Amino acid sequence: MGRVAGAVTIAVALMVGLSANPSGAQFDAKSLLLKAWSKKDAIAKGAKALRKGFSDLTDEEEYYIGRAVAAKILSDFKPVKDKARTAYLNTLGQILARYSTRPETFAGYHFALVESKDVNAFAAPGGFIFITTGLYSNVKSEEQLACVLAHEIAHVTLKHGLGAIKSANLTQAFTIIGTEAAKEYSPSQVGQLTEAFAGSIDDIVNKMVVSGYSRGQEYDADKEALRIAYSAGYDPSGLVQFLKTLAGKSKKGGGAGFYNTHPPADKRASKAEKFVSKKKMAGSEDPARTKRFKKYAL
Amino acid sequence: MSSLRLIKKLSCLLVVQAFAFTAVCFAAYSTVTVIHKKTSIRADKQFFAPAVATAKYMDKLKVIEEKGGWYKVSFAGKTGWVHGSAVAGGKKTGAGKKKKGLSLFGKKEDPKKVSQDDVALAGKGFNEQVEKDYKKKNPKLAFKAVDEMEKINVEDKKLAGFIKAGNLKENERVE
Repeated sequence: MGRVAGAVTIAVALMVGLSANPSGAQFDAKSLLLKAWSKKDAIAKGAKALRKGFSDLTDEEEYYIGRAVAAKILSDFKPVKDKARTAYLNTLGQILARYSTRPETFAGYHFALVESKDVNAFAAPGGFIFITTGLYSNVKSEEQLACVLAHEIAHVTLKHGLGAIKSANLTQAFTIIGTEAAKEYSPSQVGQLTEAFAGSIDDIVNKMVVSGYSRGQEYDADKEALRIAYSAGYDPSGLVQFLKTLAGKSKKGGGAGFYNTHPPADKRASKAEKFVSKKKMAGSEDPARTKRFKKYAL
Repeated sequence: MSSLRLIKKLSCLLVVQAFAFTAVCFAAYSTVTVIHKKTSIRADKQFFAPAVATAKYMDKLKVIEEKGGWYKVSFAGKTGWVHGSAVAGGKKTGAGKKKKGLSLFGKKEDPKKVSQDDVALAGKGFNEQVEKDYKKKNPKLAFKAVDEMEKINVEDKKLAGFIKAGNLKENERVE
């Protein structure tokens, strides 16, 4: 494709050259050819330079970033070896993901329960989602769990994790990728790419675990969670109920993690409640779902 | 060979290459490439429709038509629908819609061009090779646990059973 396009570029350049020199007497084919090739090169470079921000990362690159972020999280939080609950989380989560704005990622959505008393959840790029046992034990219904998972899915679909990557790391990576046509890199290029990769992973983990997303991002993820849960047939007020539970605990002075990485739960609950009412997203708990949840509750 | 003869020969080439270019462009519209690890080709253009086949990374699918972000494709003797987010190289705009303001050197973003870039960029950048190097430099990271996490696969039938047992009735998305 590139060769054909290149040949056409040259041919067009020759035609232009010909029309500019009707007599043809002064026509220098060699220099025009060189000029055309350099123009083609400039166009190619221009196309590569288009990759500037995190949204330019491919789904495949997002997947490898997500795997490394997940590996870091699972190094700090031990996964709970509970096949039944893990299957329950994955079934519910994968249904919800199909109602999101990104139903498919490079390798799909995956959910895990991790050991921690902190009330927290993490969403690594590409769809690796973690719920702590501390958070799970505060969930009182399948509606609430669906809304919590939908909130994390929303962080993935809105690419909040990728957005934490500092531009210097992206620029470094895109510069190396942009100048190299091959998919296999030399040891020195791999070293440079790994450096940018490691920097990107640290940026995301730091944002997710230490500094937290901005209030705006959390509210956006809440709104998207309400849309996802409602679309799938869940009562979106499950999110309001869960946030109110957390708000109550917060007043008693309990909890780290979740409170450090999110805006105050009572404010989120209030905003979510208004959104549900404004959009008329009515729903109700179902006895079958309530019964099912009891089997998997912590 | 004089410059004039060279120009004549290249001008002939231009005509031939213009035809070839048109053919290549047409081909780009008639096939899409899978850019995800795997994707289901479904009986209907819905995520809960039964899968008729599974296509893997870099498989080429022959496009029959495009509707609402889904492609009707033919692959391995089967016909079905694949979601647009899992493939690249074809049109990503609505079926039958003419793309606006697109030119080869124009500044406006071309959905088709972007998707073709996705195919060109496949396997590049942050890839398996980079992960391997990163793992070597960070041997304590829990990549094995991530591999285990990825192995969990919930079959479509189980999802459908879960929806039915929970009396879940989907609602239209609210914007």
